[in-house]
Amino acid sequence: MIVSKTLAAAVMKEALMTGADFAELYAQDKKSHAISISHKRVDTLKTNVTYGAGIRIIQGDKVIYGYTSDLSKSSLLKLANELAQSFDGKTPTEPKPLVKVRNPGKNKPKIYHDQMTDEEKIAQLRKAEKVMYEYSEYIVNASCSLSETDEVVEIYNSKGRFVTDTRIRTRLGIAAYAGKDGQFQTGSERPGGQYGDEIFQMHDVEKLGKKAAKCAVDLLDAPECPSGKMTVIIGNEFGGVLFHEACGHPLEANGISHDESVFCGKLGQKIASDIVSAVDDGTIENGWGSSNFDDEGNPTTRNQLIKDGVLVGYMVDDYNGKRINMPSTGACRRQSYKYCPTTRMTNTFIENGKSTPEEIIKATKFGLYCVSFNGGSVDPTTDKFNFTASEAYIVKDGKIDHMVKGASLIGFGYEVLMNIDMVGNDSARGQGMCGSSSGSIEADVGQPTLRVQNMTVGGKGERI
Amino acid sequence: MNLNKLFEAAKKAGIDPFEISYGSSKSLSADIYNDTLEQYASSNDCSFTARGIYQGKLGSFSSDKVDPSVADVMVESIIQSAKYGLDGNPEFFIEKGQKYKKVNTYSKSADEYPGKCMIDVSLDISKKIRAYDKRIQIAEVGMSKSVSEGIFANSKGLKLKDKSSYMVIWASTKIVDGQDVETEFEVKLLSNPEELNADAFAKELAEKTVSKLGAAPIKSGKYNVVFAQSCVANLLRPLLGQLSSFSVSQHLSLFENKLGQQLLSSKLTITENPYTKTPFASSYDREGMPRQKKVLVNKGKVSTYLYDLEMAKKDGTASTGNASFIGGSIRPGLGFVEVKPGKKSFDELVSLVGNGVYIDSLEGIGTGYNTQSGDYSLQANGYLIENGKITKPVTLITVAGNVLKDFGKIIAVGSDVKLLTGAIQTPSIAIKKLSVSGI
Repeated sequence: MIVSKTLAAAVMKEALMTGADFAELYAQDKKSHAISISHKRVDTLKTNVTYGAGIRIIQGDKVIYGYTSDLSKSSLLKLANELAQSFDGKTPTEPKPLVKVRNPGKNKPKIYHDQMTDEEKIAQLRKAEKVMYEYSEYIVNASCSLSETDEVVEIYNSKGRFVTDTRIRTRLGIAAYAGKDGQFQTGSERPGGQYGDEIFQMHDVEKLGKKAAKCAVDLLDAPECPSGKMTVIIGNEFGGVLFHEACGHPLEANGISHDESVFCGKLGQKIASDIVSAVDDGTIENGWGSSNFDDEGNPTTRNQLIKDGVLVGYMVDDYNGKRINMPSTGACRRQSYKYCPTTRMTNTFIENGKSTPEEIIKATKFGLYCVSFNGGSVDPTTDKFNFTASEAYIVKDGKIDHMVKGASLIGFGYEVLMNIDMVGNDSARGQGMCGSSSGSIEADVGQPTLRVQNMTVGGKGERI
Repeated sequence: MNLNKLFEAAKKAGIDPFEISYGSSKSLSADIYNDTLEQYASSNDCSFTARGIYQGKLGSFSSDKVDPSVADVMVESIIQSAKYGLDGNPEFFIEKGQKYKKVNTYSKSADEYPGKCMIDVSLDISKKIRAYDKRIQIAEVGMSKSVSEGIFANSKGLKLKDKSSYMVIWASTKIVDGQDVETEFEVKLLSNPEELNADAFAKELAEKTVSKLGAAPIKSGKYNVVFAQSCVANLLRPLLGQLSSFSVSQHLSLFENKLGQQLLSSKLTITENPYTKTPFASSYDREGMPRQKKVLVNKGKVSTYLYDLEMAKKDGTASTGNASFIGGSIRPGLGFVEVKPGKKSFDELVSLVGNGVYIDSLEGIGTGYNTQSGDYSLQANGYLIENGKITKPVTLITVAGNVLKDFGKIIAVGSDVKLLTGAIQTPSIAIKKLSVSGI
């Protein structure tokens, strides 16, 4: 136990002494272990401990938050007392007795991080490194990393709920840097999930290395992407960053409840083309963004957001859910105890359609085919979004023609959703880190290959 | 936090020399949504990073955990990381006796600024913004203050201390006029509360918000561009990071073998100055070496690389006081940067450009900017420049280029210097013929 149940109960009582409605204690103990090979040597082998607790007190619309890395009884009670002074009620609220909620026990690893030695892990990374340098003389650096986190969270609240959750995550980073005639390009592969070192059985590091190296080297000679309005085919897996930015963020309840989303008041309305259905699902076994409970202790759910083009759900946490009169969907998350939690995505993806990727390319006379992405960002209030392709090709007369570099895509998310005219049947998910007000969190993005008409493409090449 | 216990544990385990960088901080923030205080947060926490040499190899460990049990975890982790670590050189754990220039980054008035004042000022700013124009439906305002104390000590007797503080005020707005919805954002870094002119802050943001109504894309093409200070900062700072002698040694720098060469516009002079009176001022680097003021780019010519002790020894030169802790290792890193202002006011800059685009914000920096190659393709917002004047607001365009090449074709550097939260102070800069994509 990070914090004893007795102490947690005392903290709840102290926090509610001035009559607030709700109090919560979030305790976190997380060990992060990172190994990286770069510049032909073991560049990093380090351990970091994140250890502390955050106390949240709510009355009406007002939230008070504080955190500390000193988890002694005196420190936590002092913090609870100081935060409670923000309210001036004379009658304390009585917290309910804490009852532990059974953890469903999902997302367990097959190989725990301490079952492999650092030497074995380095040997795996060296395989990827070797393949990258052997691929081409233009590879100037091969960077291979393994990131492991072992985390326990304990969440107690004044409604009497007490949950614990163990989250073990592992991610590979295989990146190639190619240089020629004073210019540089990069290619990378970064798979991960909520599992352990079985990542090395699930992913062939040599294949990942070769893919990263090929992309970096091919980009050296690729012409600049043309700019203008284009038909764009967006690849599966990390192409899902399109939906994440264009639609995902604006469907988070913290924006909906503050009238800061273009999708406010649109439940039941058509917001996407008929062939688009999308989900946020925190229950996917071993999903990168999954957990048994969210970061306010509610169970995660599979949450249908869009069904056949119609908006049917938002992602909701307790605080914002109260404001819009909707129940939690288990979508409350935070980077660490240093952040006040809020509505966030988990694993968010567009579901399969009926076309094959081959049919989509064949049906395109001229366009841009974005296979992979670096990421993007959005203003949820206006739904103006952007994302950048890391690997893209011009499609001509139904065939992939040549690679281009430097393509960025911008637009209004609500327009893009309506302009999707083909959806593939190859849905897959990719891993990323999502940044917002409650910090940087693990999130899957995903989709099948799909096609969007009339997107604005930015690039240094000639105008279309 | 009893650092002596950590030093004792390290010595007992044979980790020698050994060093700790310890920091404690307390902060307070208030977030307002229109007329309501929505969130009020306080914190009091500490963390440390330990580094040492074990059997000739370097190891490190970082933690928020400060209770006595962390000493054992620290020792175990350093020994484990040293097993595969780089060769350690005791020479780079310095003795005491260096001369440091004093900086004052602590403000008593910031430290003692009452939370109630933060709330009242933020509420007032929100009210003033919304009162400016009734179409401004939402004005979120936040204010925070942070006070930190640091100790940097090693087993050779070096012990350095510092105390610093800063404040931040930020605001975001939503304006609606029929179907037209626009948002704006502004942030200001303060050394103390006296620096804040709340009325001016509110007025400036409100005016900017209203001016963005009717924003639309423009035709794709090549445009002369005036980049606002924040855009210059976002583009230039990562490029300057390649002045690290480590990047140069690994053939991962665009500045390799380019010292003294005319790589950028002769209108550009950039200095690194750790002593400028800003919250970023500091006396010593991450190895305890005194910081140094230096010219990085002199009229477009690269003047120096950045060095820590190890890279300086390899290159047969002296440390430039640029040691930073990056990814678990000491590497040269960039300090506080100043772009030398020119003589043209912002209006004169716009007049000089004649016809083009004024870009006042760039989105997607984290993903659309390849900081290795300098290539960028980013979503942009701003205003059209027609006949030497700012005219219509522009949105949903992209601007693409290469930072090294583009800052080689500067039309003029403005005189409107602004301090930004990213440890850089810069004016606006006008650049020739960039690729803009719109309609």
